[in-house]
Amino acid sequence: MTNVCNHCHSVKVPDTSSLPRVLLVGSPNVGKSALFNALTGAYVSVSNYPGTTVEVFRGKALIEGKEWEVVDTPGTYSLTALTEEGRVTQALLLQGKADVVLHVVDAKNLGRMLAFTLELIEAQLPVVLVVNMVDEAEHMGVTVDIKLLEQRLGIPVVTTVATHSRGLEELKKSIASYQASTARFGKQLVEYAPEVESALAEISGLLSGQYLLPKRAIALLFLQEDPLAEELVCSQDGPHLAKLEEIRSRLQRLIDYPLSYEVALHRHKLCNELLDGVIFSTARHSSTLGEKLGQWLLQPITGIPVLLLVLYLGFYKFVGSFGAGTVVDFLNTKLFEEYVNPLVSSWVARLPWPLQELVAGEYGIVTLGVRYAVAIVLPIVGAFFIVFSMIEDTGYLPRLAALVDRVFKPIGLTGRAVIPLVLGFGCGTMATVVTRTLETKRERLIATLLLALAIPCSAQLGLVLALLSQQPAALIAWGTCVTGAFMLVGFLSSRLIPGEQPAFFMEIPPLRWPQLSNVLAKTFARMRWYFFEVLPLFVLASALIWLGRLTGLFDVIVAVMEPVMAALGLPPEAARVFIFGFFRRDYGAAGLYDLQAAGALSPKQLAVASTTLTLFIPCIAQFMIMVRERGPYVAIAILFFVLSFAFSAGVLLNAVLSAMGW
Amino acid sequence: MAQCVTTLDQINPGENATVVSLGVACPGHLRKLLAFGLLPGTRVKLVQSVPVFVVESGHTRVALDRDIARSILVRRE
Repeated sequence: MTNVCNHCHSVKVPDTSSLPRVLLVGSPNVGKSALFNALTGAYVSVSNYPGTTVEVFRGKALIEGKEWEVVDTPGTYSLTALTEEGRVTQALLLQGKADVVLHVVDAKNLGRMLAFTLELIEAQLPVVLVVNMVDEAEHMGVTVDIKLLEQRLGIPVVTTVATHSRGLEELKKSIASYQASTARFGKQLVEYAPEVESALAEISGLLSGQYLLPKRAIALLFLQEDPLAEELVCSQDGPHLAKLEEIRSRLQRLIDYPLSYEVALHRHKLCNELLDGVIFSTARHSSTLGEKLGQWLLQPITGIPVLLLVLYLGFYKFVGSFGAGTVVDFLNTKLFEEYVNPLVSSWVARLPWPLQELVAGEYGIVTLGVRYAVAIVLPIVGAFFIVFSMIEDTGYLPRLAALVDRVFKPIGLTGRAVIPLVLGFGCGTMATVVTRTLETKRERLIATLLLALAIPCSAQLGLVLALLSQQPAALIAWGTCVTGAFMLVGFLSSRLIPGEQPAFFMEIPPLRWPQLSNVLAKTFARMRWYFFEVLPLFVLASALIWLGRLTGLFDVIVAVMEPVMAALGLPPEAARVFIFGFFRRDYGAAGLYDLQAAGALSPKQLAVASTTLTLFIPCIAQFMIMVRERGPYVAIAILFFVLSFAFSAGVLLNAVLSAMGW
Repeated sequence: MAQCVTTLDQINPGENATVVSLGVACPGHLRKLLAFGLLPGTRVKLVQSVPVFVVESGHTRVALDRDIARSILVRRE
């Protein structure tokens, strides 16, 4: 670790607001976002699995007559971050301004979460302990003596049920009064083993730079080899770095375990002492129906049938048949073809021809762009997100992750990857952001690649299912190819991409009933996000195609792609479907839908076209996010790989199906 | 009582045990196990072992793969 100074680049957290700031921190899945929503009246996604929030959200709240900025952060277990998204939280704590830090914990798990509180107190941050979900704890027979805990910790402790806004007023009071008495910091609670303490004193003595946190806290993080603390020390106290590292290695030689573990273990043991006489638990013997059901979901023999049932009812029936079938039919044929399109055509009839074509032509902004977005894509995406939001809230996803862990290991992933991958069936763009919850760089890379290649988004999937539902053989061919591509590419990339085999551990939260209001709010928020992302691109695509046709460029591209179409055994008109696909995958699928409606495709062509289009490049939005999350080189490499893989697979499938006599 | 000390993957579902030590090599994994409350001295119950190991300690349930389970040393009750 001697060359850290070569790449000193501190994480910058912009101070966007001059308002006093409340920071929400805590372990994943304790209800930080629910509390954020309750405080601000805004809405950020709330679910029942660790890692729902992967970005920082800011909102405003009126607290005791004064305006505050409230910041929701991704979950993290301690001040030293273990995951990529946790580093954001850490940067906010170490380098940002926080007038009050709310450490949110799950009441029934206070015992193991309190260590983070101690860490925050040690760092002399203005911390309030928020014991959330007390209703669930009470239900499980757990009670907490808040007054005694407050006394022992020397900080305010508040109990809440964030999803029902219980305890909110008291919380607001302690936030407001905290600011009034800024001097009230927690006492020094933690004393480590003598050799650790002397190393801490030695390091603190050498630190002379400017730090927002006390030197002892920085020294402690430095001992734990925390990357951000090392960066800070290296930029502030670069000349002492060698000496500091020597102190650390000297201490490490005295202790059997990694220092970070030694320090954390000490803190956890202290928590057990602090909580003696604070937590009361009445043991229950009979397990509830919810617990039994939760158990069944984790066993393959019962879990797999439930999974199939969820897929069939939720996705095939509700999203596929209802969303992509009934609703799309209604909006597309009734609303647009019968009313909107004729109406728009008559409005623009007086305009000169090229403009008429731009708005209401074959590829017109309204007749094609808006129609695809409103009548085809949105209903499917909406249906998907209703189902997905309900599933998220129950706590099913962590159980699914555990169930499929063994299937994911050969492709270099763990069960944890099931969350971004399932979300990818909704929207690959959102899912690519969520790959941050995966622990290693290698897992994030493989998941990003698989999302780009073999996970169709809901709009695309809904359309493909609707198209192929009349052709069971084509449906099987498509399913086999896409699943095969997923496993093959996953397997190869886990062999070719260097790095350790990932380990799987995940907390399994209790099953909960979805809250209707939350499901609706979440679905609405996602649909709105999706719609405003999709619509401009669809309109832009229509305009570009219009321009291309006007200049003749479009026909040139179609002509260039004709040999490719021929290799795939597709009619030349299919070329435009792939051109659409460059803009958005679902745009391409919607084009396929039109082509099929015109009766232009045989079952074989349908199978080949939908397979190629499913594997085909990710949409522009997903590509941009890939660039942001994985960097331009990786993103471009994935793009070229996916393109060539998709067309090769299509050509191969066409050859195989032809040989089979289709 | 030495034969009572074994690794977590060796005990039967439904059995209770006390964590003796964590033999995990990666510091990040070690700290995560602590964050889940699986520190030495904690009583745990193995809930299931297929397809993944699920342990219960207090009100927390954690799913672990075999490699992690194998590196947790426990004492049978």
